Amino acid sequence: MTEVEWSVSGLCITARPERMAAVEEMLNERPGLEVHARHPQSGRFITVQECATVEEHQQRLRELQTLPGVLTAELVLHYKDPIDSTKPMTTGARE
Amino acid sequence: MNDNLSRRDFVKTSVAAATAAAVGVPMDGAADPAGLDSGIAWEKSVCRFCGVGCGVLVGTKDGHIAAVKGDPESPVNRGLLCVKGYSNAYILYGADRLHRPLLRMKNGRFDKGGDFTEVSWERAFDEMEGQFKRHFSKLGPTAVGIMGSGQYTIPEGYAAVKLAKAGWRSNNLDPNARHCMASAVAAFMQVYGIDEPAGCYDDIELTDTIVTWGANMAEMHPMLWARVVDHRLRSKGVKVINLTTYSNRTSECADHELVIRPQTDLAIWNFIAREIVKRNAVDTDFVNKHCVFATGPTDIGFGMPATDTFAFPAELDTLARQRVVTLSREEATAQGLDPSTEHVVEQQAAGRANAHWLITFDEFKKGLEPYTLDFTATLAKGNPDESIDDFKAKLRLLADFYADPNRKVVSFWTMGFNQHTRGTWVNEQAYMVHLLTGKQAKPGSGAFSLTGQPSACGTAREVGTFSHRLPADMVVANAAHRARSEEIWKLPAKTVNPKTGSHITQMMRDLESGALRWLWVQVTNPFQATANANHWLTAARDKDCFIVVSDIYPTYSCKVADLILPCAGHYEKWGLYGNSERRTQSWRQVVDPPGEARSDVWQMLEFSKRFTLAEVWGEQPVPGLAAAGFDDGKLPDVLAAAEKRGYRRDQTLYEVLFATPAGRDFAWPDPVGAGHRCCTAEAGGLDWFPEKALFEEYRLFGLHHAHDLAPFDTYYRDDVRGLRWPVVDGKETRWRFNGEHDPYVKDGADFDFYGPALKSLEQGTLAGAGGGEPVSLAGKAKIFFRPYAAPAESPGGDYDMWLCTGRVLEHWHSGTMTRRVPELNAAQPRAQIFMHPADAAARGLERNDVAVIESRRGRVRAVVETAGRNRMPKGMVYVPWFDEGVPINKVTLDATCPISKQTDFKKCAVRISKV
Repeated sequence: MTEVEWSVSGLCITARPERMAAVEEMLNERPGLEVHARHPQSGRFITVQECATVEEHQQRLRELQTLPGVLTAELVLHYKDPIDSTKPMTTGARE
Repeated sequence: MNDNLSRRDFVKTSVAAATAAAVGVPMDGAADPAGLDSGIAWEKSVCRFCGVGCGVLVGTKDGHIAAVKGDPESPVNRGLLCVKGYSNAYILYGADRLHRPLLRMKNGRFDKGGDFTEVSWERAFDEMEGQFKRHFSKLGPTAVGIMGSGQYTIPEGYAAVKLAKAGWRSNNLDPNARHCMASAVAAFMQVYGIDEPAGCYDDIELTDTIVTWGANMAEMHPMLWARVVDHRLRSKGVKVINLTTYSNRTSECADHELVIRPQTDLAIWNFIAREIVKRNAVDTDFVNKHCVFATGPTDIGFGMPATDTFAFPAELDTLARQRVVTLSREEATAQGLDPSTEHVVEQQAAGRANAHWLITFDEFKKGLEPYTLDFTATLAKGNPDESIDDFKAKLRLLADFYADPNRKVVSFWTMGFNQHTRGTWVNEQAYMVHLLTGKQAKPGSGAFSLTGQPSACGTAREVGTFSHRLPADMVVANAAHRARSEEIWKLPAKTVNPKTGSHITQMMRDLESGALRWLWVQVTNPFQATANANHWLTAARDKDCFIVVSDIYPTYSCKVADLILPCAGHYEKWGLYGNSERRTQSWRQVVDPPGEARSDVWQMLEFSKRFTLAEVWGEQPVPGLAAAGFDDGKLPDVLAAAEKRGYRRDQTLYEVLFATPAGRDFAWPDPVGAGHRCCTAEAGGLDWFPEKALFEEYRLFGLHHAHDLAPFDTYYRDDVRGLRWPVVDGKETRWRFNGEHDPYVKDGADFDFYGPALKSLEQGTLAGAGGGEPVSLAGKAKIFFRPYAAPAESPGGDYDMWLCTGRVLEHWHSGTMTRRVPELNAAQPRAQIFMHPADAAARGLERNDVAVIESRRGRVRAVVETAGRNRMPKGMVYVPWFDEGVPINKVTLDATCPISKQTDFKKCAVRISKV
């Protein structure tokens, strides 16, 4: 079994509350990103970004920060996990 | 589907749960996040990057840093981290970490033209010592210097101060923080008589109004910005206003954006003050009880060299403005002069730019009179495509916010103010408006200077690694301050040199002139970071000088070094930093430095063993020294006095300054370090704990002097996430000068601006000092009138565009660390020229074309960006400076604020052309 790096970031994304629905739609279309919770009072989404490579994480975060309606996208937690690379990755980012 | 996927699902829901918990968002049915932590040892720490000072939990596994997370216990960032904070884990593991000292050698000997060759530490120190003594013995203490940093830990900065100022008797120690917040320091000293902000980050959640002036907080201080955004969204009526010279990401969450012309912040503050006076919005009670009015000379030059000796021919016209300035019409109006006649002003006060005197309120009002809405709007409108009426409406609104007695206001600024040829003035103007309205040093109200480096406050400023400073706000020019330092340091009287040393830009000029011959660069990258760099790069290689660079990676500065010393990184050593809100925070060593890399403290201690007292404490030449009690031009021999104190001539600086009896009392191993190593003690074979000994001695300077720090061990307690000084009776201080919060305010007073410096002034008028008896200003703050003044260089003729430089989110400073984190580099791999599409088109350029950007001083190539995060007004370009492939400081101008000596990296004239 070959082990490669697989990592997940817990991100807090803040949108203008009036634009949360539109922002959530955009978030749902993004590869490897899952919205786990939303908090309309603060405009916050709790999301998890899954990436095959560490390099990809930062690019994804950068892109999130420039989405229309997104005010901030910040990292709370970054976690690396050894994982069996012979199984298909769900993100499709590095096959 | 399989174990792997269920493991992934578990990890993802755990990460989501931990994220939600950290930011206080409720989440049902979440997995237990603790399950992720198996095998990882977490340690509280501080982020390595900007001045916000975020708490970071560092996770280690098998001797490596395996994970980081925002510290949920941190009152600063409350569990969040920005892109850079996240890279704390990876900055230590770049492929090109320096592992051994490298010396330029040819045929087995040091040679300035030789190739870098691995040598032992012993060989490295031998050459450093030989070169030091060759120059020091001929030219004395002014021939040697250290360039330090706002990234020094507190013990590192303190060791550097003691080695340079007490050991070598040289005041040529200056940090890169000179480029970062010297103007803020000078204004704090002139207005309050003591350094550092009155308020704290708590103001963000307590205010109604946040105004950013030349501070792109969304990119430069993301975690504070996250707090601003959160407060803005959750609280009704909160307004955010962004004043900037180009449209940036901070404007995304701003209610109002004012794009202003460079340097016109000076006029806008005066317009606001004029409105406040006109609308009777002055808090008369506060001002009468706690403030006085002051001003100073206006013919102060631009901190450029007084001589043309080393100038390139194209530089001569700009340099001439250091001596004589023909006022623009706007400047004449702004200074109350007739704009229809020419005013040619010799810059006679260039050598005494910090002079100031008292004026009356009526004189103050007279100074403000020219700053009408019409005048200010015409001068300050920065976007040619915006209508003057729209801009006027915004200016009026801005004045409304400040003038409204029922509105709390916080003003934040960073480099837009500080990197400014009138940086001290514009800082003082922020206090002018906040003091006039009584919106200072109060919860939710205050003018607040943000810093760019993790310990610009804690080390550079408070420890005093500036060429004019001693610890705890003291200065070398003050006899009582020198005496107090000599007492704590147990030195003979008159050991400390009373002549202010060279600031960091001046040290570069000294290299060029041959006055500085030996330079040690620590925790900084000055040959990339100093403006007008072509001069300094050439001087470093061509002059008879020896340059040592200590770093963790081969930086741009290493290219011009003669000796490179490999350093321990942040989490490979013990340290403490002080952030922008006076919060002192600590971390332990959690991993070992690689190869033969050593801590900066070890390097200084080890090098100090190379000097006997007889070599440095005899009579020394100091050109230009003129101070009471000293013969002109020299420092006295203090060896006999040293012997009277019990020292021997053959004792080393190591024994006298560092391994003192008091220092050695702090034993290593120490219970505070249980389970941790100390690379400094181990490399030195020491049974004492240098970082703790240095911190505890440094602490003596501030105790009972309004700079009180807690004991070293307190900061390492599990329940402490830093403390904001002064820490008195174990209690931190949130709002200084405020009787309800600050123990140093005299009993019964509501406010007391008790800073002791510069608190005796004579009365004068706008035209000049009166020459009368000085008046004591104990307990008062000064409200300065400062006029608009044009920059050192403006677009015109062959150089038709403004150039502004700065940072981007992903990279920090010169990119030494962040460019080695692959994902950061992938996000922002190269510096671009941000420009308006119409300006690009007019030069035949399109997005992604390569262009040449050229000034009177130098040229570089970069790729054009007409979209993206920074949207430039016509006539102005922005180039970040992190990229050593685009060394933009070859283009920038080394004009400084004449008071603070901080370079204006935000304004010079350039032309852009297609390659």
